Amino acid sequence: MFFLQFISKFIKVLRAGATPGQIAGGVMLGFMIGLMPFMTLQGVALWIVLFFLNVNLSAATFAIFASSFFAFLFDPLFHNLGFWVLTTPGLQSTWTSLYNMPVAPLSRFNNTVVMGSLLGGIVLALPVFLLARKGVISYRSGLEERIKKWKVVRWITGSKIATWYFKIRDIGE
Amino acid sequence: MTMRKGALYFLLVLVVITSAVLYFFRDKRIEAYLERSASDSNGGKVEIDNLHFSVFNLTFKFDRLQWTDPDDRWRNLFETGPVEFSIETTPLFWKKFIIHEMKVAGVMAGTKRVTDGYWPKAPEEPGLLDDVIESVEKEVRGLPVFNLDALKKKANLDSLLNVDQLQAVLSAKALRVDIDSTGGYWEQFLKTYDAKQKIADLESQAKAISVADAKDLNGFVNTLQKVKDLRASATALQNEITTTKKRADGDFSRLTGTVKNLDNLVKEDFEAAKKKIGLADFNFKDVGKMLFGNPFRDRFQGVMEYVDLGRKYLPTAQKLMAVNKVESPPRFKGQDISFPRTFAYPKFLIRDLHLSAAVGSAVSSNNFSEALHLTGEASGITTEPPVYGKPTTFDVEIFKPNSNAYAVRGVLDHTGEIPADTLRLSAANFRLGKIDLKQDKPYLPAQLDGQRGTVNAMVALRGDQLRASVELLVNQLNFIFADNAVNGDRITQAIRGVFSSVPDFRFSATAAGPTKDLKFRISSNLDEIFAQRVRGIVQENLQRAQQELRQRIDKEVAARRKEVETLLAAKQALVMNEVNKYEKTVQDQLTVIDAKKQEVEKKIEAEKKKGEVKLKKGLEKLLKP
Repeated sequence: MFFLQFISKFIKVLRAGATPGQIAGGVMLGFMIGLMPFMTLQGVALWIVLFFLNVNLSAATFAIFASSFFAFLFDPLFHNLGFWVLTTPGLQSTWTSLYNMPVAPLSRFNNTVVMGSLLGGIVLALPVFLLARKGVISYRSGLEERIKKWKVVRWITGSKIATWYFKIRDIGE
Repeated sequence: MTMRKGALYFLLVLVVITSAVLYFFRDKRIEAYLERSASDSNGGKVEIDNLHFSVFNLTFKFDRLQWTDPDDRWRNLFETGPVEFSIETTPLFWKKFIIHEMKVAGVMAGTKRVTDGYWPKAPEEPGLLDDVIESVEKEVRGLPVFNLDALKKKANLDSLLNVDQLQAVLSAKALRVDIDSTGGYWEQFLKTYDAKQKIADLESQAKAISVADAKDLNGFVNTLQKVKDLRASATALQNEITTTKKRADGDFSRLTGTVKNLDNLVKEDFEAAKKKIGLADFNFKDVGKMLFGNPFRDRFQGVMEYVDLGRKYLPTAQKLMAVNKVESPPRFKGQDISFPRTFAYPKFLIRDLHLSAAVGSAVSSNNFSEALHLTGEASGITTEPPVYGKPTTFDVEIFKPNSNAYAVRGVLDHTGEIPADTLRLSAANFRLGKIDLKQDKPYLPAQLDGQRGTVNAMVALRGDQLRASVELLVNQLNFIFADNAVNGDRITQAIRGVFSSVPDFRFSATAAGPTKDLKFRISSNLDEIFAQRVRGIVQENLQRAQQELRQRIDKEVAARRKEVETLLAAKQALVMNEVNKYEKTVQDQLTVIDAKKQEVEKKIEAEKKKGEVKLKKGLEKLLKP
């Protein structure tokens, strides 16, 4: 029973923060995490931010998987962007200073794909946030009811697995 | 958006648990990681006992390190006693492992392993050591082989000399077959040769031509034509016989030449037999080289093994660039852009190392009183000398109990593209101990036992150009023979006597050139002493043995030589007499034909004159008025 309660709590944490802004925040942070190579200092920092801010973790998890899945398609683009930024003469002193700082190299900023994806993530963060929030609002204003009527959705929600999920989710409520 | 307060506690718990797990299991994890990395690099198992890492002051300690010899899994290349070192914090951010000071005690080389030290190893590229070993082995193969035993065995030459395998004897046998074959061919040829019939025909045709039968000019002209035709046939036959004679002559000349070449083969047989039996001419300047060539080679190779290790583990800029060369950025992995470093740290560096060790073969038998003990310091041991920018240096004292120490100093400068290594060894009045000379002859010493010695040695290797030298002076020395019993042989006693009376021993050796083609020079005062005292005795016996060997070979070949010479002469005479007879007969017929020709020509001339006179008289009658 303890195990089921633990899973139930975890699901609640994942589903917490269900306002459009919280969901969009989760999507935005998940998108940035998924876009970048995993083992970097800024990646860890984003995970901590994601964990501490009251954003929707389910949406973030979904965004991480989705953006990770598609990120490799943009790696050549990120490589070119990162290469350009890292080799721009005017920025050399900045990068050199960073390169010689004790902690900065852990960010792997001198890698072209890491730099490109970080910049790409930063640039796209706001548009992703705005789009996600608009999408949630639209969904809730009418789209949800229509989707619930879809046969495939009814089939999924009526399945045994979904029934079990709902039971565990609602423990203690 | 608000803060997720619960997450803070969750993260805190997570961090505490993770830290606790890492802290309590850190020693085992680090130990396993270091063992695995070192074993991969070594190609033999590397084991660390009881490693302890202090997080707060970044110090490592362990009780023992065993480094398996990759070529012998049951032997450690070395093992250490307690080791302690601390690492610098800042370079860790760049994943650089810099040891400020390392203390290593109780290092022992060549110890036996209790457990199997097998570890899969990557195939190695041939390196400097392979070149040196090949070059040294080539020199050792060229060491003089002097075998005085042969002088004693000279009475039993039959057992040492395989007569049937002498080149001259084999050649004489083959020659006999050749003479039989060639002679047989010519005999058969002459049997079927139709020259005799052709000569008889010539003779009968010559007889049939009768000059007296011709009555007028026409008759004489016809007879002359017949003579001319016959002469052409005789000349053609003569040319044929001359060609045949030349061929036969050529064949027998070749055989005669082969018989004469037996002398050269006898000389070659003699030289080969001298070498085989050990009676080769001996230069007494080679005594030092012969006695100390092998020990010098062993020690030289030992030193070069350490130099090779230095070359392998302290790579130059050229090697590093080859290893770290960025071929092209792997797809989707990006490319690491490098920027100038304010503080350049190599990946691994031991700034200072304090060492105490015991090395030598005595260690493996736990005979530490005879082992070489070593104390000293080294600095700048790094995997990236060009990055560190300073050469690796070491200053070590090696000593045996109750002896002065050897001082070994070295500089391994791999900071540039071409590595430059220098090692110097010096010691004064040290206890030399026993040197195994690896000789098993009763008249040559098996060991040299020197009470006190002075040595200066140097090895300088720049790129693949090596120059090494050693100067050794040994006082109060004693040559030890494998067989201590007094041998009655005069030569052995004389040579042993010389060794026993040598007051001191001076030895010098140099090796120079590219590592693939080293040239060695070894000399010692023994050369001069031997030249003075033993030359007469040994040379006299040597010459006597050589003379006997030569006589034995000459005797064996002489009988066979006479046999083939007789056979050749007989065959040659038989064939050439026959051919010469044909040649003479044809010549006789030609003379007869020529005589007839002249007679006919005279008759024709006389007839012509008669005709001219008649013609003149007729014309005069006609022209008379």
